Amino acid sequence: MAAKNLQAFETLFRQLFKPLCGFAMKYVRDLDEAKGIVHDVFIQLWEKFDQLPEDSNYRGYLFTAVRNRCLNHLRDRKKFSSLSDAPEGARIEENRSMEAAELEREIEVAINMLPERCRLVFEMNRQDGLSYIQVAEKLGISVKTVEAQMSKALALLRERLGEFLVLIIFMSS
Amino acid sequence: MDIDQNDSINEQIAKSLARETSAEEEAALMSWRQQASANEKHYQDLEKAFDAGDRYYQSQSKAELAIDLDKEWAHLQSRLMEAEEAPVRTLWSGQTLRIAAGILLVAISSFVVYWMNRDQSTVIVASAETRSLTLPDGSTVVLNRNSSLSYTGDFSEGVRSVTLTGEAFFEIVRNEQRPFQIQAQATTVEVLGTSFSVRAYQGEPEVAVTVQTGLVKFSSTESEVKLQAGERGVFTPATRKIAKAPNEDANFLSWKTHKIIFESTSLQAVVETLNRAYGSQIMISATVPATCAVTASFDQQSLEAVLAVLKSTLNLTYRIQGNKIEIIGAGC
Repeated sequence: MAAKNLQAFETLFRQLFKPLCGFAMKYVRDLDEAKGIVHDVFIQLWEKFDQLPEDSNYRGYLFTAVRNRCLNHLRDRKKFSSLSDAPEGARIEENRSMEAAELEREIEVAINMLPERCRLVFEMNRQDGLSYIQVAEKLGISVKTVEAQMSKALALLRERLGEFLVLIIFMSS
Repeated sequence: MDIDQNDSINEQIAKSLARETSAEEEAALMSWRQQASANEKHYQDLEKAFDAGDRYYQSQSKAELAIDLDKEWAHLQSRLMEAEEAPVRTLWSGQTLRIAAGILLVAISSFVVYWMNRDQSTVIVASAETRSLTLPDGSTVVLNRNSSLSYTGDFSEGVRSVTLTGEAFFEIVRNEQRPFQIQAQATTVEVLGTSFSVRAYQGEPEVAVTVQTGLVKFSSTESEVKLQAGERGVFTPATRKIAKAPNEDANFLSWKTHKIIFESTSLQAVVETLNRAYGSQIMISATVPATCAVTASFDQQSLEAVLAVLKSTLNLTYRIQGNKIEIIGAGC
C-alpha cells in the first residue's frame, strides 16, 4: 500500500474540522450530529487520499461532501419523523427564512469551493478588509495577480450560485 | 460583449466593487455599462456574487464551537486504524450492511482478543503510526512506527514477559513478585516497575535502553548492567557487550512526545532526530557543508513547520521527491 501522507491529512483536519462542524450545524442544529457527519466525511476522504492529486481542492470537496451528507441526514430524519406523530408546527419554518438559510449555505459552499489561492485573496479583501496592495504584499504576488484572482472569484461565484442570485435581490429588497 | 474582453471587464468590475478603481476607471466602466443592457446585466450579476461574499463574511459566526481538536483528531485516528485493519469494509455497500459488518467486526475482534489472552500469543503491530496499548497487567506501552510487541497469555502467572522488535516506551506497573521482562534481539531487559524506552530495530547495529524513571536491568549473554534514570545502555551484537553511559540525547522520546530540542546540534544529527521523530526520510546531499549547527526547540509541530523554520534559519534548500526529502544546499 502506498504510504498516505498522514501529516498533510492531519493539517487539513485541524484546519477545517471546526469550520465544517459550524457549517454542518446550519443543517442539523446539533453539535454531536454535526461532528459525526464531519468525521464520516474525513474518513471517506482518507480512503482515497493517496489517489487524489496533491493540489486537489480538498476544502471544496469537504464542504460539498458535508453538505450532501447533511441533506441525506435531514431526509432520513424526515422520513423517520413522519412515521411518528411529531407536531407539524415544530418543523415548519417560514418560507422566506428557509430560503435565506439555504442561500446562506449555498454561498458558504460556493466560497469554499473556490481554488485555494483565489479564495484566500477574496477572503483577505472581503473579510479582513485588506486593500489589493496589502493583499499583494502579504502573499508576495503582484497587484495584477490580485486583480485577476478577485475577478476569477466573482466569475466563479456567479457561475456556481446561478439561480440563487435571484434570491439575493429578493433578500436585500 | 467580446469574450476576450471578459477577463479584463470582470477585473474592472471586481475592482470597482472593492473600491479599488480610480476616477477614470470608474468613468470608463460606467460608460461600458451604459453601452448595452447585456453589459449592465453582467455587471449586476457580478455585483450580486460580490454581495453574496460580503453577506457570508458578515454572517460568519465569531462564536467558537466547543470542540477539542486534539480529542477529535485522536478519535478520527482510532477510526482510521480500525478501517485500515478491516479492509473488508470497503467490499460492503449500503449503510445497513456496513453497520452489520461493524458490529460483527467488533464482536469477532473482542472474541479474538479474549481467546488469545487465554493462552495464545498476542501480537501488536504499529506500522505507519505510533500506537498506544495497555497490557493485561495495566502497564502501558507506546509502540513506535514499524515495531511490534508480542506476549503469551494474560500475565496471570510467572514472569511478565514480552518480545519487542523495533522501538517502544514502557511504563510498567510495579509488581515485586512478578518481574517484567522484555526480549529484544539477543538482550533481556528486566524491571520491577519503571519507565524506559527500548530501541531494537532489525537492521540497526545496536540495541539501546534509555531509562526515564526507576531501575532497569539490561543483560546479554556476555554482560549485564543496571541502568538508572537518565542512563542509557547500548548493546553491540559483535561483542555482545553492553556499555553504560549518561543519556545525552534529549530527543530520545520525541517520536512519542513530538517535543524536539536542538542545542548547537549538527545538521546531520538534526536530520537523524527528525527521521526518528517523524518517520521521515530526509537525506543531506554531500555538497552541504558539515559545519551547520542548529539551536531551536519545537513542541507538537508538524514536519512541514519544522522544515520551514530550518529553511529560513539555515537558508536551506531542499527538494521533495515522493516521501523523500533531500537537503541540497545550506547557507552556513
